[in-house]
Amino acid sequence: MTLIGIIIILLFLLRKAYYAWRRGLNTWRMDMHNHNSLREYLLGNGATEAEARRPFLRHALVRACRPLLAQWQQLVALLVLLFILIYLHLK
Amino acid sequence: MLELHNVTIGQLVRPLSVTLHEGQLLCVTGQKGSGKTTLLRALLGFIPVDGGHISIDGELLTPLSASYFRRQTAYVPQHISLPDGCHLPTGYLKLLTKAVEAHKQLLIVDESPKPLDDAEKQAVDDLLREAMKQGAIVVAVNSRITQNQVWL
Repeated sequence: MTLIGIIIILLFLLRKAYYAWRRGLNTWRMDMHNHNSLREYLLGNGATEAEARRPFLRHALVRACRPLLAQWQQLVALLVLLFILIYLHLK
Repeated sequence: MLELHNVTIGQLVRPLSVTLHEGQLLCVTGQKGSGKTTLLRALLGFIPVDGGHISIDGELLTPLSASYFRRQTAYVPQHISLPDGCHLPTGYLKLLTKAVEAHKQLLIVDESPKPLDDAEKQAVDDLLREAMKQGAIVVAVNSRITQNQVWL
C-alpha cells in the first residue's frame, strides 16, 4: 500500500516538473525569437554567447518555477508525505 | 585600423572598400531598407559577407574570430526588446553614452528608432566626437554629419 502511495506522489511531482520544464522551454524559445535584439546588443558589446543568453535563462527559470513556488505549501506537504511513506516502506 | 575590402552583402551592399584609422568616423547613410543596419550587423559578425572581407588591425573577421572582434567593440542598436523582468536602460542616448564610456576600439552606432529633437541630435554629435577624440573608430548611421559619408 505504501509503495502505491510513493508511486502516486512521485508521478504527481514528475507531472509538475514536466509542466515547469515545458513552460521554461517555451519561454526560452519565445524570448530567443522575440527579443533577439537584446542578445545581439550584449554580444555586440563584448559578451560571450553564454553571457548573452543569461537574461533569457533567468527569465525561463523564473517562468518555470513561479507556479511551483506559489504552491510551495503543497509541494512541502507532498515531500514530507513521500519521505514518511518511504520510511514506512523501508521499515 | 578597420578595413572593408570589396565588401558585398546580398543585393543591398555593393562592393564597398573603406579604410578607417583610429579617431576616424564613417557615416553610413541611405534610404530605409538600403542596407545600413545590415552593414553594421556584418561588421559585428552577425551575418557573413558574400564577397570581400572585413579586418581589424589586419585580423580577418570570420565566424571564429567574431567574438574576439566584438570584445573590442561597443554597439548601439536601433532598438532593444527586453523580456519581462529584465531591466536595462534602452534609451538611445543612454546606450550611446554607455558605449562611448566603454572606451572600446570600435564604436558601431545604428540610427535612432525615433526622430530626435535638436538637443538630442546635438548630444549624439557630441558623443560621437568624444569617441573620436578617445581614438575610437566610429561607424555610425547618421545623416547629419556630412564628412566621410558612404551612401548605400
